[in-house]
Amino acid sequence: MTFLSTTWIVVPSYNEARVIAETLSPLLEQGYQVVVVDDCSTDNSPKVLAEIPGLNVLRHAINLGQGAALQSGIEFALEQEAEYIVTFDADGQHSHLDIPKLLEPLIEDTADVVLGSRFLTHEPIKNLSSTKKLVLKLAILYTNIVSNIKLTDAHNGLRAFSRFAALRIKLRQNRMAHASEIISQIREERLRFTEVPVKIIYTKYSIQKGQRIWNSFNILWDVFVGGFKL
Amino acid sequence: MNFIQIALLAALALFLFYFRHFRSRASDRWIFSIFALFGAIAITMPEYTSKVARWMGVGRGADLLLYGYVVFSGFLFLAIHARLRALQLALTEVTRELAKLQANRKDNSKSLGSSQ
Repeated sequence: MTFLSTTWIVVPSYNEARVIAETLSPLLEQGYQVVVVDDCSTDNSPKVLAEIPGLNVLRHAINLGQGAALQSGIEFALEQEAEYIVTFDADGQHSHLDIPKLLEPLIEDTADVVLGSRFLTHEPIKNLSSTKKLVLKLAILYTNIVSNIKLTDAHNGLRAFSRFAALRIKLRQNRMAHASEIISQIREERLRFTEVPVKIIYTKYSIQKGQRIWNSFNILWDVFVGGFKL
Repeated sequence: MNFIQIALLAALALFLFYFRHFRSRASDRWIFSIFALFGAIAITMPEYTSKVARWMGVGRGADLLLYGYVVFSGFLFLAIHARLRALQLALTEVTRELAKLQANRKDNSKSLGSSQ
């Protein structure tokens, strides 16, 4: 298990003090290197995070959004000589059991980016409302058309990058539009990618904390403005 | 469709193209200056706005000015948005560097402590 010391899990977190310790403990137990990017939480996250041994914590001085937090964590991991970088949601909707499945194509060097897909699994997804499912499917359709890349799930926070890929991905979408941005950069940089089925655990907490459906409009706007020349 | 409708739609399409492909702070300023020049002409020679308006099929000079203002404010909105986005990206970089520095500092103090 030599890859453990160079496998970094990046966990962007905003006001997740209630669940973050529970999310992190299996990751740390497995022996992964873990960095939490606390995106200027207003709850007692700093205290909770400081008490977890072996954990790296980055704290943004101002709230920037999940995309910005991911980029900070990825850059930090690269500076610590990470070979594999996995992004993992803080709210407990992902399972650490899926991480080896994500790493496998990277270690075998058959892909540069591995994307988790909740729609590849044959098991029915619990607690996923039909409206949310429809919006997710429309989002995938849109991303597939725009980026010309075929995917089954574009907006899943569980992803893995090789060092090679992580050095080429540069997220400039600070908020939620980073999901589409990753897909377009995969295409622009001609990275090899694959999808693997992952389980999403929709808890009452994660649904309450999760994306509201109307936020899709904000994402479309961010994608539009994000294309502006600066 | 009459001339002014086509012109307004063309302006919209032109803006989208400009902001996605050609925009720079310098060219923004040139476009602002051109709008200001037209504004000055409209103020000093109001009879011309009516003439141009009739030629364009708008009718009244005041209506032409309103259309011109709508186009200008659309441009202004997008230009300010682009500028804000540039600032936001700079602020993001500063915040990120600060976060990484502070994380490193913590690690350094730990290793200093153990070597003593």
